[in-house]
Amino acid sequence: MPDEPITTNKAQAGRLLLKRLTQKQQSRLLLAVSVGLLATIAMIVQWYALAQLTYDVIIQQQTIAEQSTLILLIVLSLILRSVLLRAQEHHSQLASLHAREHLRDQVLSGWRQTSALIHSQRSPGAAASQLIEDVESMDGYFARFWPQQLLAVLTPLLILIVVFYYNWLAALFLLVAAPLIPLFMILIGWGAEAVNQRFFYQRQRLAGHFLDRVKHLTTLKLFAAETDALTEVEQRSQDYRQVVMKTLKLAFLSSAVLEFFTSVAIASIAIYIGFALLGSITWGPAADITLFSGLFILLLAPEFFQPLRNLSQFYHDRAAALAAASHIASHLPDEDTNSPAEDVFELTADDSSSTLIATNLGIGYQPDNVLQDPINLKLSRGQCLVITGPSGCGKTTLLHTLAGYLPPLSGKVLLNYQPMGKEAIRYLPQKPWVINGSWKENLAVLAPDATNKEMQKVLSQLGFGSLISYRNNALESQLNEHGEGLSGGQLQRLALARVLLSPAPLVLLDEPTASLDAESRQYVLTALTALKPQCILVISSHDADVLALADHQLQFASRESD
Amino acid sequence: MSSHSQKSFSPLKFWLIKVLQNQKKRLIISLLLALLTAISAMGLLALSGWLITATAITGLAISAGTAVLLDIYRPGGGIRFFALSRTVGRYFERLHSHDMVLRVIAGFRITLFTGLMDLPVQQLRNTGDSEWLSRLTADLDNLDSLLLKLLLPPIVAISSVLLLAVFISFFWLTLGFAFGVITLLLGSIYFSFFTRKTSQISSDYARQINQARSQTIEHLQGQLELQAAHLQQADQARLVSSLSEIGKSQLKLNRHIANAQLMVNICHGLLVIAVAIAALFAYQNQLVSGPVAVMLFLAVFGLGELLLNLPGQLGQWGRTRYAAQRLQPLAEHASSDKSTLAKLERLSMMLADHPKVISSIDTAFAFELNPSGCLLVSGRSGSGKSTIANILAGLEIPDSFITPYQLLINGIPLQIEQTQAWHKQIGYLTQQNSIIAATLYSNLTLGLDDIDEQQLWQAMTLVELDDWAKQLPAGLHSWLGDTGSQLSGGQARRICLARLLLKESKLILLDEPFNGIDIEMAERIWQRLYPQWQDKMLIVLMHDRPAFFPAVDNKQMFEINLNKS
Repeated sequence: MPDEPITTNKAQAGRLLLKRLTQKQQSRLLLAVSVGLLATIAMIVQWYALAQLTYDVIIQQQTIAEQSTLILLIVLSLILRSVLLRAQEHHSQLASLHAREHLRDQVLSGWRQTSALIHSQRSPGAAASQLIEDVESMDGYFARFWPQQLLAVLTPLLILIVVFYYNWLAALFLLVAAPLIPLFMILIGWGAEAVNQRFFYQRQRLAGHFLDRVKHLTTLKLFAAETDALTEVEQRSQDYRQVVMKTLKLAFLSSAVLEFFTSVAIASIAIYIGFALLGSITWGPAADITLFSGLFILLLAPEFFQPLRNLSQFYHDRAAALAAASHIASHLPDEDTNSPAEDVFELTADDSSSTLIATNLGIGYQPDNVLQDPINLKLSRGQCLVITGPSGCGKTTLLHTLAGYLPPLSGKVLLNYQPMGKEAIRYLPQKPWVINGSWKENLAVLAPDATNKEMQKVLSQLGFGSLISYRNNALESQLNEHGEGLSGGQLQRLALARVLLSPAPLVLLDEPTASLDAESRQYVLTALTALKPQCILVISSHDADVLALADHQLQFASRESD
Repeated sequence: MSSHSQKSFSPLKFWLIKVLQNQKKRLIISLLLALLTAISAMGLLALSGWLITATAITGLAISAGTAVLLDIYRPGGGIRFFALSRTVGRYFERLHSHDMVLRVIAGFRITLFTGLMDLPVQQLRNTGDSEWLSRLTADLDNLDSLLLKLLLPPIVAISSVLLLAVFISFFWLTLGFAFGVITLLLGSIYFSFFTRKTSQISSDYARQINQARSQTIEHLQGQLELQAAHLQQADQARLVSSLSEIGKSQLKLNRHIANAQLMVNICHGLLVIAVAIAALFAYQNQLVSGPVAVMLFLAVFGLGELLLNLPGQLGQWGRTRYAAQRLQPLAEHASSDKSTLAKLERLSMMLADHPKVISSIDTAFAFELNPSGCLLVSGRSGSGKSTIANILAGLEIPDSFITPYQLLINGIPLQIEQTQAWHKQIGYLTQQNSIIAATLYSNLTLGLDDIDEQQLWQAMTLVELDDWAKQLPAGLHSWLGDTGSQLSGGQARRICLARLLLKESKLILLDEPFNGIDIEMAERIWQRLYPQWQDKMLIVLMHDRPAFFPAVDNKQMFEINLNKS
């Protein structure tokens, strides 16, 4: 299987993406780290004062009342430390917010450059997860993991210097324990990352599967397939749990290693200091130990490991971010191919010289499977081409090619002497797009400049007159997502209303009159006739009345018979 | 407690009860493991503090010449034990509780899917697909906070504080009592205030995520139209504003959490200092020994890591409650017991004054059909054909207050509980093609137990798809894409027809059966299928009567034209 190199490439792309995003936020993140370091210094002062206080009272037998300066120092350093930590949080959160916003923009711009055909083959639920949940899951990386990465090195270093000053042997304990930890974490982290990527894939599959089954609940009910579907859902949930647990076992193991080292280091330092204080150890710096330095070191020991523990806690933030990033990166187009599709100059339908020219155009999805003989045609404004042929012969494929969603397999096709996709056109698929909103919103998504008045006019032209006249704010009334309240004919008319409100040099229609009743068909035909002089029409249809509009006809042969 | 907050708590309680019913044992084990970890962390520090203070005092005494005996090995062993039990406890606690949560969520998932299955179709459709998806996945994911963040940590924190208070009381009753009361009182007041303040923001956040999700799915579904029109960016503007709302809420929530951490940091620090001063004061007044004084305030110091995580965890309250609230009605939908239904011999229907069907009291839509009878319902789009088909299939039930209506099976009205039994007797081709994301084989054999491939090929031949299926990369086991989009409309239609052919049914209900199929092929397919259905009731709904249909004789072939009523 060529699976392996692809996954490594993907992971690399993900790493690169994270790196780029981090670079853009570097100043904020570094600020967060410096504030975090200052907090460490405050913390050291705080424990110094507390150890001193204890020593003074227990060993030196001083009264507490004499220690008000030390107590004040403890309280002040405590407050300072907490405030500094809060400031660190503030800066890293801002960095995370900006990084995620930046990434979302990148994803959205990537979507604009992806062929609509590729979009229609992906599960929209999975893609939406990418934009929302995956990007959201990167929060931890920027807000927590990245600053902690530096702090996990710098904070222990500071503490080590202080401990070294009081007792070099205790510092050595810490020094020996510390590098082992990242080593173990790296080893374990590698495994966790690989599993984590599968976990993400699995989560998206779970989401996609759910969307699909819910969408077809009616069918499942009608075919009494409920039990099967339920078993399937159960199975998927179980698989999901197993994958997640695998990830977690590894992730938790890495933090367990840390816990272990922390605990062992604290325990050995405590026992070493105990023996030293008893006088049982006479070599090394043991003789100089007092309750003050002993307690101070003991209080610093957990703080020495705390940044590392935090880092390991945030480690799956990193794994999650990497998995999400490699996922997103694999759907992002390369940065340098960015601009051309972006700045499009719109030609209005008034520009007189619209021409569509196809020369030796070969269409199809795979290079080794050309669907029809090469197509040659030349159409200019006011002309209409109708494509006929049995179902599955490539009518929709030609429309996709003309819309620029599918590159020609051979030959070329140009609109106004430019490749397809350069200029805005209109495409009406068999099943028109409906959004969860009002009539007005549904029209405005594809005809943003149309006024209320124009909308009402076009709607009544298309036979929605009754709907508008007997409801005063009909444009504001809601349609639901599937356009469930509308019949197929009404949906087609709604889609045509958008085109009439916002015409373009080329309009592609996929079976606009299929399965329409006589009345809807009449409206559609009238609309097409009205539209024809303003643009080039390309229609796939079996309808004799649509054929009557045609200036050119393209008869596709059946593919199954050849 | 006010009635409002009572109401706002109940969805969480609802799900909690479900957990307690199924996972009580696991829950208790998780709790014990968490407590063991917490005690070990405090014990490690406290015992270490005791040890070094005791040795310091003893060391001084020895160097002063006094003979003092100190058992250093037993506390040393205790320290090592706590070091180990903290590590092991923590590992198994996390593993165990996460496994439990995933089990709980898997259980919730099944409950919900069952609930969805039992919901009337009309209700299902109105909410929209992307909405459903976010309920089933995002909301379920949010529910996992219920145990890991909202239930276990506060219980562990409270029990640890109590245990510590008891431990301190052992040495000095007043200090232990004061510590326990002050910590619990301050903690519960502050955290209930905090939860109240953040729960609105965090439920807003969850709502905004769901909203953005629906909008995103919509945006993606409109790509064919948007991309051609170069209006993607304009439509994305809607998304971008929703997404920036999410960012704002998230930042706001995080700020509240960070402020709470600041508060906890300071309060905990002050608590350590207060206990330290009190313990040292007690030492000076000879209430406790020096080592014990150090041990007490170090134990309080060890409590810190438990308290510091609470703001982040309790910040999930609103989000979890929002998810719980949305999911509750679906899970509560108890499955009604499925009644049986006699074999269909005679079908009659009467419908008048339905808002979506063109008919009136005078000209009600009515028919009666016997086996081998065929009824053609024709009418323009919007005349209510699909509504009639849905009512016949028991998917839609007219409002009896508005619409005089009757659907009689063998002269007896169809009951809601019988819908499932009714579906077993009918084969309904809905107007919209429904191809599930699965193999061609799974699509054809939906709901069928045992079927041999011979039959499948036969059905595929009847709809002229056999050649197409043979050239597919994996034949019948080829995957029909995520959205089944490499199928043309006509191919999808014919797959749905073939699926219908394989199903054993008494009544065949076809809504626009030849959508997307050209007229010649439609005729060929009809000529092959019609004889197959000779002994069945057949109801075909079409906008126009095709020429190849048998003539109306009002014995076997009937027609109702909705346009004329």
